Amino acid sequence: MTPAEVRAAMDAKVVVVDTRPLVPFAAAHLPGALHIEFNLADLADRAELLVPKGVQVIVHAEPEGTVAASVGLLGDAGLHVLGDLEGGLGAWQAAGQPVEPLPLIATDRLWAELDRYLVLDVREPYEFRHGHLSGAQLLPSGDAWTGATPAAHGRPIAVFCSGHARAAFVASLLLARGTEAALVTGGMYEWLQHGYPVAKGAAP
Amino acid sequence: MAVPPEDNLLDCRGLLCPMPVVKVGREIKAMRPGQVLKMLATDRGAITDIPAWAEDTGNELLEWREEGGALVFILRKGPEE
Repeated sequence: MTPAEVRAAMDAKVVVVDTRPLVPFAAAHLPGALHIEFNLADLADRAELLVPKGVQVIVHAEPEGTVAASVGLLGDAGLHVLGDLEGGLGAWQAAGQPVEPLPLIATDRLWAELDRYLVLDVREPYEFRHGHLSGAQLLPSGDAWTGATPAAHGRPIAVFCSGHARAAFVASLLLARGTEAALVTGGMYEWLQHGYPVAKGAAP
Repeated sequence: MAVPPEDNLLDCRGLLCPMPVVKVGREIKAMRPGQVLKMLATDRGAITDIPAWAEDTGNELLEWREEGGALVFILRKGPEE
């Protein structure tokens, strides 16, 4: 699909799924695009956990070699793929279309500024019980599509998982729905590596 | 104590979080109590996911280590509910 065709579909509420690596996605992506990182071995399985079957999507995949596989695997996940963005982000921007970033926060900055954020933990309840950031709210990634946006009381939401794969999807979903959100890179793995504290027990 | 030989081997190398723990759950379900599963992964999220999952589900993580560029987890299936 040309950038103009993609734009028209977006205006009709069709969702863009962006399968590019995290760093280029965070730098600039189509407004409202959802991030599900390409991985030949499990893109279909992960997408199936995150997005309800039958949702109409347009695929933005780069490099070119990942386009056909991204389209095929998202179709395998039960999504209704209408097409893919021809020419990638280069063609999109050359057509004068806007982009938006996904803010990233490293774990050490989150630790230093923890009070500024509402931490949204998108792991499973058993992971949360085993150890979570003090004050974090729980919203498992598979429930994010249908779940209510957490009340952040004016704070930006810092989305957190064990690494970044699940959190990147949820952060992009919150942004798409107009909520100020950022992605914590490195997740619980890095948090523990730094020796920062965790709380135990179930979510309130 | 020596780690017992595995009954089943599950290769999750190259899979992103949370697929390794999802696949371990499916694999263990088909095993008998006391049997041992060896799982290989490369996503470092498994280092926090797998112990949490084992604790929650009543299965036992006997050991994990890094070996040949992969993470190796040895799990023993707990008693059936």
